[in-house]
Amino acid sequence: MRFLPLIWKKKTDSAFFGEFLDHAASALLAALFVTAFVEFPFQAHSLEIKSLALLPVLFSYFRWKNLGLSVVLGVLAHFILSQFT
Amino acid sequence: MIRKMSERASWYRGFLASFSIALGYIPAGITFGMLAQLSGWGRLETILTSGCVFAGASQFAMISLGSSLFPGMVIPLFLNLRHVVYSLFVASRFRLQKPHIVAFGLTDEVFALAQKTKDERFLWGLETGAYFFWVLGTTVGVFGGDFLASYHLFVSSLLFSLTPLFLVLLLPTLRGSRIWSAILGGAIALFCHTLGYTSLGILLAGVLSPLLVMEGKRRKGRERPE
Repeated sequence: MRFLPLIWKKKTDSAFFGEFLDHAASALLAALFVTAFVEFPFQAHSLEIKSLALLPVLFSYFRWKNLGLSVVLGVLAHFILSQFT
Repeated sequence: MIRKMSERASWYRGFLASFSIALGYIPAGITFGMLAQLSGWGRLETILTSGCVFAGASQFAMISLGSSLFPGMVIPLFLNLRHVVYSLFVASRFRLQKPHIVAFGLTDEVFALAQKTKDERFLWGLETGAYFFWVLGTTVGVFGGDFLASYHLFVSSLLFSLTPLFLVLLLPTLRGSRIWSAILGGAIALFCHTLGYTSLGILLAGVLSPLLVMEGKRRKGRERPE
């Protein structure tokens, strides 16, 4: 299933398709983010911790634009918040 | 010679980039290894599943479906339909020399990181790293799962790493009308996620949101001259 579109590529090149994929990339990333962020059964406490843990991620991203560092800071913040709240 | 060195450097850069994925894959792989053991799977069977299937959601579904053959084959297919959109994206962005390798390693997280490059070697390094850490996590889960289960908080924090990863990859794409695609995509996915159809929601988000936003842009463009 992952392989076939890579072979069909030649039949799908077009301006419409290029624009479609640009938009699809943002939509998919948003979808992946939302589904990773919200868990079911819904737990308000867990969502609070996650939301707070994303603050250093945002700060780090806008300050240094470093993906790895931002992710590690997020994980550390989540761990610390889980321990003390 | 120089070309070969630069190709190798690209591969290493890709492999290093996979470390951010590893933070999430190792604990998820451990969880899969532990669950499979608890469900009565053999050790070799569990590790081989991770090695051959390399698709988290499908593998967890395979555990819950047990020995029923037909659902065990069909449901993972539906769960992975979203990969068709990922492959289309990669196919349009890269000049692929070895599509079969790229296809095998194309997961949610690899797709997300693939936005940052147009270099196939980088993608190979990235996929190799992701694959290695997924199989490594499964192996650790199979052999040391009981011991690691006592560090529940640490494992759940590591699993959280995928959320900031997706967020940090999403932020730079939020320009112009793509913001609307992201909002719509997020809303569709969340709605389906609430109903328990997470994978379908991601697929619909990737297909419907761009179509709706592009149609909206087209209509707006048509109205403007009047």
